[in-house]
Amino acid sequence: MKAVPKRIVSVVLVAISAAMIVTGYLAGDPSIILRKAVTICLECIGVG
Amino acid sequence: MTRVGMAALRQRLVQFSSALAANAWLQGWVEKGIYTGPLKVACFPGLQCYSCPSSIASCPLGSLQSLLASPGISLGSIGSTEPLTVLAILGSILFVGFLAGRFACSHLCPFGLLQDLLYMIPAPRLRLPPGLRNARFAVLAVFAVSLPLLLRPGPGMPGDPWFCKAVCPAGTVTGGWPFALWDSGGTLETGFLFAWKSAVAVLVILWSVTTSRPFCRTLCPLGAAWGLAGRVSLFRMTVDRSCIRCGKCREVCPVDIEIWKDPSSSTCIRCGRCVPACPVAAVKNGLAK
Repeated sequence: MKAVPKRIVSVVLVAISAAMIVTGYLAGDPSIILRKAVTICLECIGVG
Repeated sequence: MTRVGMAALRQRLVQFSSALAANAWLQGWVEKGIYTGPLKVACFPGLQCYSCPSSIASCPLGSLQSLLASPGISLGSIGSTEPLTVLAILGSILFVGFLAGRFACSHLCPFGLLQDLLYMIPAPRLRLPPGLRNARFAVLAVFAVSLPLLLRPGPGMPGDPWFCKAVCPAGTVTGGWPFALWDSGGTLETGFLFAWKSAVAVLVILWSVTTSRPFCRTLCPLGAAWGLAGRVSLFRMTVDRSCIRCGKCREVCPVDIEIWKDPSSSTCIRCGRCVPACPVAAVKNGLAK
């Protein structure tokens, strides 16, 4: 059986990850990301 | 200038442009606050704390952890929108890795640039202890994924972004230190956690003076994820049969690897300096075949 070229596998993986981004932003709730990112995350910077 | 020098100069120009783009909200340093606009919904491809005053985008690791630690992500969270939003963040991380592995580490990450600049300070040069080389995978699995997901004070309660909270020196340097300095009223809790994180940051800074990219090679979970994805990335390194194993590539490699042994190495940050350094043109970068 002929092996699948590496380039095809890579293109499929890039396409899947792009689809994850689109699906996540469209079907999920990006405002959750925004809500967290627009307030100073005190625990993230070690002062809370 | 040599061809390796030209490659390094090109890389440096891209690094500075990227760092400036990621930190375009310069007025944050004047206003002593952070950018709160819509761009923050997107993740920047690099370790760029979203609590840095000039940051215009989100940190992919910070976003991932805060979502994994949210109350909506737990057993029985069917119907919640958080799992789908995690998909967007995971996709953002994997897209960069599947495209070009750790290229973002060498060209786009502001914390990578900081380490490169620190390594330009004249000092004794130290090699990385071999035992630490794979620690970043444990940091990814434990601090960036497992602890935020699983360690919660009670059922349905939020967890903590443990990598940010206990390890990340980028957040301390670009967020913690400035805000602690501006905190004239003493309202921030600069206790044990702040002292611990400051110690980690100081250690990483001092280590970066003697060793090239120590944080990228030992602790960075983002680099770990991109390194794994880079094994099957669309753009990758190749070494053909004409390689004479002279070691010239290793001499210019910022992460001290022998690219001929494993061209898809998860440690390789795809800076490309080994390409012009090769005397027989055996090392190449380009599309996977």
